[in-house]
Amino acid sequence: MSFPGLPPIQPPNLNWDFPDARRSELSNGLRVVVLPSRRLPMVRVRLVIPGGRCREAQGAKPGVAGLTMRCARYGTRHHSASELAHTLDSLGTQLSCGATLDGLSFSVQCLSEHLAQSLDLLSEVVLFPVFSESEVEREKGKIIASKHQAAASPSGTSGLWMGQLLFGNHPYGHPTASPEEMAALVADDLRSFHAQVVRPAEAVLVVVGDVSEHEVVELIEARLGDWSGAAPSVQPPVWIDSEVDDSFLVLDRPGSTQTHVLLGLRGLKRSHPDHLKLSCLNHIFGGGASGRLFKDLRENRSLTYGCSSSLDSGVFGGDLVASLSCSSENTTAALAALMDQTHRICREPVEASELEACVRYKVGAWPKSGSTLGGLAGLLMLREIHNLPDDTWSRYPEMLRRLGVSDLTAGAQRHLDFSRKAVVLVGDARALAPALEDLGTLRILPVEQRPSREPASSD
Amino acid sequence: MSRESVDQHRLKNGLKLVVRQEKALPLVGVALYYEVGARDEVEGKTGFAHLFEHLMFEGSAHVEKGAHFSLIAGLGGQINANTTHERTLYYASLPANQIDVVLWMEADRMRSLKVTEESFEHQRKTVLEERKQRVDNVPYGLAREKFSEMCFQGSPYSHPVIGYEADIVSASFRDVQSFHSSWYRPERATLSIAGDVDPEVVLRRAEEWFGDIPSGVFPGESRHHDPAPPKAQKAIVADPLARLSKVMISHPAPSYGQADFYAFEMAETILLRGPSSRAWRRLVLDEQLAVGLAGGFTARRCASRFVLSATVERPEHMDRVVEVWQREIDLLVSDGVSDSEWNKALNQIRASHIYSQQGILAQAISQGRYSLMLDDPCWDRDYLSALENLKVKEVLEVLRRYLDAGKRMEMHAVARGGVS
Repeated sequence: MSFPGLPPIQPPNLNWDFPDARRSELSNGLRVVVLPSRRLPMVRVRLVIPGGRCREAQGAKPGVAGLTMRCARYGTRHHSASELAHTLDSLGTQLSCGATLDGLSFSVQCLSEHLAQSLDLLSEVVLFPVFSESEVEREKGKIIASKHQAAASPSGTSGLWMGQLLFGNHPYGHPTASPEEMAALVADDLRSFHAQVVRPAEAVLVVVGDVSEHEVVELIEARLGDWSGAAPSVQPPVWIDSEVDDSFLVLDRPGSTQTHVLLGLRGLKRSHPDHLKLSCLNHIFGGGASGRLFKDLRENRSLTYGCSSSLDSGVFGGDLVASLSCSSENTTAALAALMDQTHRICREPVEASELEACVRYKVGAWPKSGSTLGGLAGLLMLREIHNLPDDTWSRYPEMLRRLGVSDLTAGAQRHLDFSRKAVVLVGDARALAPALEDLGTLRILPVEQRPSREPASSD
Repeated sequence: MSRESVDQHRLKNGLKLVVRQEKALPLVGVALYYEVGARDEVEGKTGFAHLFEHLMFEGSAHVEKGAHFSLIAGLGGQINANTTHERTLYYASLPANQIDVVLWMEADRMRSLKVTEESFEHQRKTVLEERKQRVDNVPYGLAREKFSEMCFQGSPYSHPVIGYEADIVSASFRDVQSFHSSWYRPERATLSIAGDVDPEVVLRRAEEWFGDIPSGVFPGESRHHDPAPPKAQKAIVADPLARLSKVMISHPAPSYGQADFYAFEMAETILLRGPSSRAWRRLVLDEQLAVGLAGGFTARRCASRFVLSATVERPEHMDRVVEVWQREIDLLVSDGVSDSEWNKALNQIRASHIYSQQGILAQAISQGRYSLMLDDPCWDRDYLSALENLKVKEVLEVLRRYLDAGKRMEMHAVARGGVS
C-alpha cells in the first residue's frame, strides 16, 4: 500500500455517554452524589460548602477563608497535626482543603480498601479542627513569605489588579489578603469562621470510584449525619456597572527581560445559558495551539513562546483573560496584535469552519472527561454547585452540535465588551513606556504594589 | 487491568512498537520517542535537540507547517512534544478511531522534513522567548543552570536542555537535515500506544507506513556513561529576581535498571513524601527553617540524582537546612526504620502507583519509557513486589554508599537583599 497523501480521517464515532450518578440527601440537608466506577481500586471524594472568599466581603476578615481551610488539616479534636499526617500517609490517602471565591472545598483520594478510615479522617477535619495557635502562626508565616515571592515573580501582582479592574468593588474584585492582613489574623478568627460557615445545609458531597452507592451513603451518614446547621446565605453581591479604567496598567519590574501581558474582559456566570457559547468563543480565540492567539502571535509573528486565554465563570460572574509573555522589545507589537484579536472575537462573527473545528474538538475530547475520577467528580460538582440541569452532561455533545455562528455572535455581543477591556503589563517600565505610549495612556506602579481593598458594596 | 497484555514488536528497519489494548474508554494515547536529547550535543551547539523538536512542527511532505495542532485538535485530540537530556518525545491523545491520523502524521515527518530558512528563524525566535520565560526571567532559573553545571561537570548532562542563549543564536540551518537523517531514524524510535485499539491492526498499519523508512547510519555511540561524581562543592549565587532564598542539595543516585534503584524509591518516600516525611517534619514543621520543600529521586539512564530544594525566608538558615538534611540522612542510615514507617512508605508508593494509572496517555508514555530505557514495556509489573521484597538492612547499605556528605553538592541562591 502506498503512503496516503491525505490524513486518513475517520467519521466521528462518539461512543461514550456520561455515566449516571445518583443523588440523595441526608437528614441534615447535605446533598450526596455517588458515581460508581470500578476500573481501579480507588475513590475520590469532594465536599464543597458554597460561599468561599466572597464571604469575606460580608463581615469576615480578609484572608480568613483561605487560612481556615489551610489550617483545618493541622490538628483535630482527636488527632494532633503530626498524628493526622502520619495516619493519612500510612493509608496512602491524600487529603486537601482550600478556598475559592465561591466555595470551601475538602478533597480526598484514597484506595477503596481504606475508604471508611479515610472518611473518618475527612469528617474529623470537617467537623473538629482545633486551629491551634502554633499551627496557625506557622502557616501564616508560610503564606506571607509566598506572597512576597509571588509579588516579585514575572507575573507579579497582575492577577490581583486584573480582578480589581474588571470587578471593582464587587467581591470578585477584592484582592487576596495582604501580608499585613494575613499577619493580623488569629486562631479565634478561624474558629469563629469555621463555626459559622462549615455547615451542611447547602453543602454537596460527591463520591466517584470503586464504591457501591448504598454502602457509601451509609458510611457518610454514620460520619456526617449528626453535623447540623446552615451557614448564613451568601448575599448576591451588587454589581457596580462602572467603567473599566481604559489606561494600560504597567507594573514596573526593573531589569525584567520579558513582559507579562494580561488582557481581560468581563464574562458571565457559570449558570448562564450562554456559557457554552462563550466557552466556544474562548476556544476559538485562545484555546491552546489551535487558537487564533497561538497561531497569530507565535506561529505567524514569533512574538512569544505561548499565548492563550481562559474563561473563568463563577456563581455571580466571570471573566475572559488572555495572557502571554514576550521580550520587552516585542511588547508593543504583541499587545497591538492581542488587542486586534480581542477586538475581532468581540465584534466579528467567527468563521463557520472555526466553529466546526471547535465543536469537533469539544465533542471528540468529551470522553476524556471520564478518564480520571477527579475529572468526573469535578463535572458532577460543577453541576450541583451551579444548579445546572440534571441532563447538562448527557446532552453536552448535542448542545454543542446545535450551535451556529449566529449563536456565538449573539453571545459575544451580549457579554464581551471590547470597550471595557482591562490591560495589565508586568515588565521593565523604562524599556516599555516610550513605545507603549503610542497605543494608549499608561499608569505605572511598582510591581509589588497591591490594589487596595474597597469597602464592600451595598444597596 | 493486565499489565502483561502489552505487545512489543520490532519492525525490520528497527522501529520498536509497543501496544496495549485498554477498552475502558474510546480513547488512545500515542507516545513516539526518539533516542536523542541534549546529552548528544557538543559544546557550542547546545539546545539543538530541543530546537529541532520545534522544527518537527514546521511541516513534512504531506503536512503543512503548524497543521499538526489543528489537525489533531479538529478530531478532539491534543498533541505536543518535549525534550530531555536522553530523549525527545512526541505525544498525542485522541479518539481511538482516529489513531491512523497520528500514525500517518508521525510516519510522514519521520520520512521527510520540510524546514525552510524562514521557518528555522521563526522557531529560533520562539525558543529564545521560551528560554527567557523558563530560565532568564524567573527566580532561580540561572541558579539551577549553574547547579547542573556543577553537578555534572565534564559530562554532556551539564548543559541545559534548552541550550545557552549564544548557542541558540548561532545554531545553523545547515545542520537541520543532517540532524534529521542521523537521529530521527526508525531504529532510534519507540512507538508506544495504549487505548481502545486492536494491536494486530496497529501493527499492520505501522508496517505499512513506517516499515519502508530506511534505517540510518548512526553517527556514533551516545555518551552513555555515568559522569564520575565530583567532590563535594558549595556555591553561592545572588538571585536578584527572588524574594525568598533557595538552597539546592544534590546527591548521586542509581539509574533505571540498576539494583540500587528500589532503595532510592523508599528513601525518597521516607525522607520527602508527604507532611509526615522526615524532612517535612524537621525542616518545615518542627524547626521551621523552610517554607517549602521540593525534590526527590530523579532516575535517568545515567547521571541520576537525589535532590532536595528548600525555600527559606532567611538566607542565614541555608547552612542549617543542609546540616539538618544531612543529619536526617545519617540518622536513617545509622538507626534504620521502624516497621510502622517502612509500611507507611510502602502504602504511600502503592497508592500513588494505582492513582497514576488513570489516563490513557500517561500509560502510553510510561510503557514507552520503560521500553526505551529497559527494553521491557512492562518493567513496572514487578515494581511493587520488588519494593515489598526489599530488606531494610540492604537499603540502608545502598544509601550509605551514595548519600555521604563527601559527595554532596550545594547551591545557595540568595534572594535580593539577603546575605548568606
